[in-house]
Amino acid sequence: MTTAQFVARRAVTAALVLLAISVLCFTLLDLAPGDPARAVLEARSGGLPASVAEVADQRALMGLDDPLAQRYLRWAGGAATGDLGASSITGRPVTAELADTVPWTVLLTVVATVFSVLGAVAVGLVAGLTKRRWLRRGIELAMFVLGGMPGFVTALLLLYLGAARWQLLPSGGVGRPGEDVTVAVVAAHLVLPAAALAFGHHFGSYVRLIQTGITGVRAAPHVDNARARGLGAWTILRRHVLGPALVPFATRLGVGTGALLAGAYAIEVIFSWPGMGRLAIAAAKAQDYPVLTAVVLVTAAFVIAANLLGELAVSRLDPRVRLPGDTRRGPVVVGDH
Amino acid sequence: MRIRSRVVTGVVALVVTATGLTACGQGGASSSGRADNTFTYALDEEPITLNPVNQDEHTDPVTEMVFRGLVAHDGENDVVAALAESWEVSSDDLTYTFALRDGVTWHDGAPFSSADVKFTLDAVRAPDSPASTRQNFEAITAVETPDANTVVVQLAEPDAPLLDALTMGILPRHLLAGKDITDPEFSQAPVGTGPFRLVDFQPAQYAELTAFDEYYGGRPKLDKVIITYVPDATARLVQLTNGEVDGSFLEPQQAARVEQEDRLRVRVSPTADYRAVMFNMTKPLFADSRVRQAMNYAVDRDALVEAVLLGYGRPATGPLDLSPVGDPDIASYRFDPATTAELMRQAGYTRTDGGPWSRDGQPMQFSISTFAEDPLRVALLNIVATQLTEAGFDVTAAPKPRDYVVDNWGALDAFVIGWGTPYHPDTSLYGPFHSSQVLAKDGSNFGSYANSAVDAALDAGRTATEEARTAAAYQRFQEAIAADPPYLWLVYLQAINAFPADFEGPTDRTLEHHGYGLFYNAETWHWA
Repeated sequence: MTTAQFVARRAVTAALVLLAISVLCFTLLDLAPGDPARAVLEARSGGLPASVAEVADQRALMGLDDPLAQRYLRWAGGAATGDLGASSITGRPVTAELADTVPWTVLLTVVATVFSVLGAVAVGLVAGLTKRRWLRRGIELAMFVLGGMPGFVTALLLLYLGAARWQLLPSGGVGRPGEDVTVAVVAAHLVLPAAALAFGHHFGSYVRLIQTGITGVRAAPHVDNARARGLGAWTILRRHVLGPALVPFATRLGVGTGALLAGAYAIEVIFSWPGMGRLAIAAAKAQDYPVLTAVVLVTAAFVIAANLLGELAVSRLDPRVRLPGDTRRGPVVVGDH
Repeated sequence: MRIRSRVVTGVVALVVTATGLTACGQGGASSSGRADNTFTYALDEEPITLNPVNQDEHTDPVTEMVFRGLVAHDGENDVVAALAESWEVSSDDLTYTFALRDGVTWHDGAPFSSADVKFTLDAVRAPDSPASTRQNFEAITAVETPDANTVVVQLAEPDAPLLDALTMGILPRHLLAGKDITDPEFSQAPVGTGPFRLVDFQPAQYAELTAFDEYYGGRPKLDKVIITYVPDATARLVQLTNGEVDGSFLEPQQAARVEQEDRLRVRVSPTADYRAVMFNMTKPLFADSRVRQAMNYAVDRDALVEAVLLGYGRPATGPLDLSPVGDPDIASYRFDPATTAELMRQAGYTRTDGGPWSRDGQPMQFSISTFAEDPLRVALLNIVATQLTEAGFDVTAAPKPRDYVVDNWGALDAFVIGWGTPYHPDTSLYGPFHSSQVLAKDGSNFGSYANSAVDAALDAGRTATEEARTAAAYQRFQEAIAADPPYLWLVYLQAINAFPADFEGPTDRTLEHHGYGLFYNAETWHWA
């Protein structure tokens, strides 16, 4: 079996998982208290309570009186052809709502992950390699504090410092209204939210994983062996330490994508980022079930994909883990440098 | 040693580069919109639609600037001419003839005519219409267009609030014929006849509007208006103080901070949005009107305004305190414990010191609920419950989730509710107070209040088209509810906005709930 076949098999499993999640999501939303028809009326009147008669009319209009199974099949039939229905609040196709928002969330989370990885590797290396006790302890303390801070506190702190106090960066949105959205403009608007997401509470645990990974691997017999062979310190680090030391971190990164997306939702609200998180929160508030279902599925797809990527990355980093189709040779032989 | 120094150097280099990049990015501060004659305003909530037929007394700023109705509300909330230059009402109040303005064009250049008016009204009032404003036009039986500049509206029965309903924006027939009146694409890229043209709408980001040169009232003074949607209150304040936006909607606790800024002014607008405790009249405890009057004297409304609204509100004595037809002297409910005690004794209640009022061994004991999700209502509820308990009413504050409340109105003893309109009072009185609208009949009179004098006054108000008759009808209504109060009136809310100190145009008009209606005269706004 090649790696491509392995990924294809995983894709089939993923589709089945998504199908199961869609059934679960539909059922749970149906069981949840509240009435989407009433929510629509209240959204249009600015929250004034709607009368029973008005709600009944609206329910009929939205087809909510059909049995759950019938509504699910109607939805699934559409979803199979790429039609996820229309938002019950705005009336726009759900696919259009997703097309407007998902790319922004992907951009934010990917950049934040890059910030996170680069930052954690850099700080983790310093903490793992330094012989200066105060530096190591200092980093540990800083990571401890950072780890205890809820993501929105980090976000508000960055907003205050970066945008209000020093006025270095724009405070929100993805561009200046009425001006072209260029790469430079988006990059400037991206710095604060991405940093808030990257250096939130999980950052401390990333650094810690890398630090302990390095300390552990440096004491391993294969590193002693490499030293004995007279390899340079830099070569040892690059070839024999870094890869295995990053394994626990890479695993954590894949598994933590769900938490990262959840964090992105709060960050998007604070920094007016027009992503899926704001869409999800608005949809949940307004009981916009078609949008909510789609957001749940997209989020699930991201988490599944991230876990798969994490698995592939671990198999690259750790010579002991071999996925089907991996043609690399076994343990490093003497003189292989 | 070599490794360590190289790694440390690398990290330092990374940090320096990152800081450098950051500094190269555009900073947050910007010059005010004065330079390019633009006004940028930050709003908390993004509208769910920009289509006026789906915004019932809740017109968001963009819709307000893009569209015009046959008539409009002026700074006093009186109905004045808009797309219709003038109108006549037949002596039986059943025929309205509107003479349309000449030479009005849509934002896309197409001419506006009576066909657009007929198209809009017919589509909105159709039996299967999805428009939330449909019920406002139920009295209409036909809309006729004898010529391009005349619209005749026929009614089945006199309908005084009709003119207020006709402030709703007229939609373009040439873009919507054959489509759903609430077409989602149009509702995000609307074309109207108003003073500003929507050129860009980015959901969850902003709406950009430019002055419409052909606006019938003359070109607006601003070149551009930008509404940004900033959900987080702190972020709005940062953008305002930074100069990223020129104006913003404010929370009460932010007003003092903004007042410190020399270049900003805080504008506090009255709104017709009130909060009151609704009594469930199916409970025998509230049967005696003297008991409800007594409670209306037991609450210190000034304390509510200070403690909960931080001063940004005013005491309420009835549902029409801020209405053009309201008479402030009819119900003079104020904080007066002696009157409370007097009324309770008249109603046959006795009180042993410290304990609650009781009659025939039954203590005056009940709970007041409200939507648990609404922090403002919960705060009001907690203070009201304490004040009533001090006055001898054994009250428990019991906020409940909205989803529970809307299915269980009939089970609640009392509830902190909110209504109110700055326009024709019928729309916010008939539903909550007319006996034909009680909960058992699926209406929005959730307290099941029934009073024949109130019914008669509301019916008269609904059909009275002359000013004097309208005033008389609502005078009688106010007298009737003052004698037999359906609610314990609490407070009116105010809307707080920040504007640049060198900016002119916004007025002190009484606004709709949440401060809607602020942009009604945006075409006159300008930098000083």
